[in-house]
Amino acid sequence: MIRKATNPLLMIAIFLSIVLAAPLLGVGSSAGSIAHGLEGDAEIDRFVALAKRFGVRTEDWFVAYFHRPRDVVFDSTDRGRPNGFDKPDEAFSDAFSKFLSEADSNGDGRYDLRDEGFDPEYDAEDLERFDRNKDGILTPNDVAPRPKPALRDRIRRIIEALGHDKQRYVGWPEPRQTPEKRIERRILDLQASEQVQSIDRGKTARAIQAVVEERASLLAPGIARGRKIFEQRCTGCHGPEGRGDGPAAAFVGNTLDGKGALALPRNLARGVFKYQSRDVGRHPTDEDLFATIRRGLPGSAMPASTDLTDPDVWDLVDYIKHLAERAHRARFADEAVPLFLQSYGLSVVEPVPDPPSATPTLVQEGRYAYMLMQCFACHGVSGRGDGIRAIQADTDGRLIQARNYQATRLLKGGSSPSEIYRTIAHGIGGTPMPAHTDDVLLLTNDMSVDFTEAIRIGGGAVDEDSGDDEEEEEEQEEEYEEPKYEFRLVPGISQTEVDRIKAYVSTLPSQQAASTISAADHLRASRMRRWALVHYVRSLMPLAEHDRHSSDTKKDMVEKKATNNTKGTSQ
Amino acid sequence: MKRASFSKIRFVVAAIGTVPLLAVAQTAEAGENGKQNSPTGTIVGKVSFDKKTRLKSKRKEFVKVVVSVEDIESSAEDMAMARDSRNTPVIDQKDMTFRPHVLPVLLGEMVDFPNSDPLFHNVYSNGETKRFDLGMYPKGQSKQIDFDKPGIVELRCKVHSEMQAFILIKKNPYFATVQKDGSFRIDNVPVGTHTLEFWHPKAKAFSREVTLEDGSTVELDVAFSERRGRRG
Ligand code: HEC
Ligand code: HEC
Ligand SMILES: [Cu+2]
Repeated sequence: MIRKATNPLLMIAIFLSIVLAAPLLGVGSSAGSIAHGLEGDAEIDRFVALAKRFGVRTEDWFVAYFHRPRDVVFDSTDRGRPNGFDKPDEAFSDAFSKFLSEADSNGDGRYDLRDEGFDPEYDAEDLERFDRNKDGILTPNDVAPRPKPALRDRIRRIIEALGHDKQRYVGWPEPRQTPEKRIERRILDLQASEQVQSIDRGKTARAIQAVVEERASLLAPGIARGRKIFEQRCTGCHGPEGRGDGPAAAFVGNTLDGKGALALPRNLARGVFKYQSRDVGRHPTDEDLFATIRRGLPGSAMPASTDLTDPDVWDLVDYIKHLAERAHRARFADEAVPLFLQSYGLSVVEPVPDPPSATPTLVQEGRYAYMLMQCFACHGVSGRGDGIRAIQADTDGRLIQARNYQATRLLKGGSSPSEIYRTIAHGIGGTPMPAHTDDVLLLTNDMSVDFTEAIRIGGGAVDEDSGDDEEEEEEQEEEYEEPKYEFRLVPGISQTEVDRIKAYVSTLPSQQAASTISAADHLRASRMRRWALVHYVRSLMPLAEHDRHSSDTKKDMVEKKATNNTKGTSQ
Repeated sequence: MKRASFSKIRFVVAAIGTVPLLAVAQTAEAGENGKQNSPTGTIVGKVSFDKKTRLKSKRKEFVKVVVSVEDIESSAEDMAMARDSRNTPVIDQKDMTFRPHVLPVLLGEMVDFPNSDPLFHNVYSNGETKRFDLGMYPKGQSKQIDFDKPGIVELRCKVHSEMQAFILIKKNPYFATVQKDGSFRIDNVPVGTHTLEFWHPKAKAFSREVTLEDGSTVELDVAFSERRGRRG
């Protein structure tokens, strides 16, 4: 429906009407009165009853969110649209700086949590913005009304009436039970047989085709429902086709001081995801996508969807997968197995072992690893996201900045030890954040400890065959010159620290000794080093006291899944 | 079909890095031990760049050109034989550059990625032919991965986003990297009429038809005429 609209104004009109009509699409006939605002208590009650039943966000929520996102999502990076949905032009900037200077209530030149009356040490008042799960772990609470007269009161009443505070999503979902799971086994068997007898491809291909078709028909109803919800809630940012080009997308990319780069709405058609329990190259599990949609991605514009019912979120998951698979099929018409199916069973969720507790020694080891493995190249020597390579392009060619640990207690991929462990192990798909696989984490005593950064010193032609002594004439390409580098010491590291790290390195095994270590010991050492990194990162974050000693939600999920998988194979 | 592939750790002496690289460039000309008794011919030729490509006909650009017979799909046994007859292809990471910049390999072949710089590098690809991330590893270490789907893989390093290389995965062993002087040679190509493709990362790829008879040598003199479009 939106695809036909090319006129930007029309787009905006349609988009606004979708946003405004969001609850209506879900609740059917009660449209008129709601679209005109909630007048009296009776109206609110009626709406709340409907909203509860159909699990939709309120109209006010959307109005508030797209107007000034921080009204309702306190850590949203979305700058809002005081002027409605127009291009972020000068008028917008002016209006926005005005908004900011007003919002900067403590006059420290920037708008942040302090302006909302929060104590930087995250006092009790702040904790109200979080929920606790049964283990006492604080979890994001996306609805944090900030003081703004009429609208706030209205939203608060609605939220209270909906009981959202009490039903906030906390951990990971139960492993999904869908009809699709039933055919997973059959696909796996077929793939195995294809591997064995690649000669008789025709027959296996036909069998796979049959299963694929069966899967498609099983998923179709969910996809159709998912599309509806997507159009109500997600197209504003992700665009009608999920390509990350919705009308709100233009507003969310840069930090306010222009010195940083925040994530733009994802192009979901690419099929590259950031937070997943499988290695890069595989695809996220349904549960991964569920968690992302439920929790949102704190520190980006992507809001949580705490008010949707579980089946609604699963439908969205199916639709997200469908968007990626559809785009993939358009390019690879001859590929028999749909994108996500390719990852079934081929990879198990990496069993995240029990997190060791964060002893000072382990944290210190984490610091050594952080320096030796050059996390500082992006995250900076002190973890502020200001390394020399901090801002680089992501898969979609948009800039993204390495995380500043010191400024956040909520990481996008989760802040519990095992969630950070997962992030470090798999990296973040489509961004510069690399994977840190099991086999390389073993540092050795002969490695260089000079903390070198590669500094670009100009674009002089680097001869590709520098070993050749043949004289090369001056070669000046018009457009592109090979960059040239010098390896220099990273500023900001003290000599004391260098000495300490050197001492640490000398206690490590030599390369030769390392290559004779048994695979199991190797793995154990790598994992421990990763835990050290996890605890070092967490030591930089402004975590509350009970965050630090939290047990783990992710661990439960992993264990559940492991049993689930064994069940699957023995069927 | 993507399959699990293992990247193995290997501690190589740092100096080894560049040696196999040169060897690969030469052996890229296809398998001597193709079928002895079936009739084959040879393709030789020279490439150059027209002005519109804005590329100089120089050694630096020549070595980025891959010439390949595109319309033959070798049998599994032939491919296995061709793979066995070659050294493991290598892309080194040295002076913040992947070397070579373009590497044609056989379908199913393992490629070795040693790191010869004094800092951590990373190798990954987000493209659709093969999606992987080898993680971060220091000088002296190497990782390997196999390429199990024909096509083009654009390699990058996550830390140094300007690092780039291309791996071309071929369904038959009849391909060659162009030499520093612009010449190329492909031996033992089965007789018949074939499509020969010329590929360069920045110039628009094109193809030519060649007809080979038993024992014959076909000679070509071709030029890239246009620049590659954005994301071409
Ligand atoms: C206000 C804008 C906005 C809205 C509304 C929004 N998103 Fe997002 N979404 C984003 C941004 C920005 C990102 C990228 C965040 C990042 O990469 O850190 C994102 C990323 C995602 C991702 C990728 C996660 C990953 O692991 O890579 C998924 C899936 C997603 N959104 C689904 C949804 C769904 C489903 C909805 C509707 C319920 C939705 N989004 C609504 C802004 C939005
Ligand atoms: C090449 C640059 C680069 C290097 C090297 C790097 N990172 Fe990152 N990292 C990033 C970027 C960029 C992000 C933010 C991605 C995003 O927000 O989508 C990030 C995000 C993170 C996050 C936060 C994820 C979240 O859930 O929000 C953690 C934790 C992290 N990195 C840890 C590490 C550790 C530990 C190392 C070293 C072992 C490391 N990184 C090395 C670029 C890098
Ligand atoms: Cu690099």
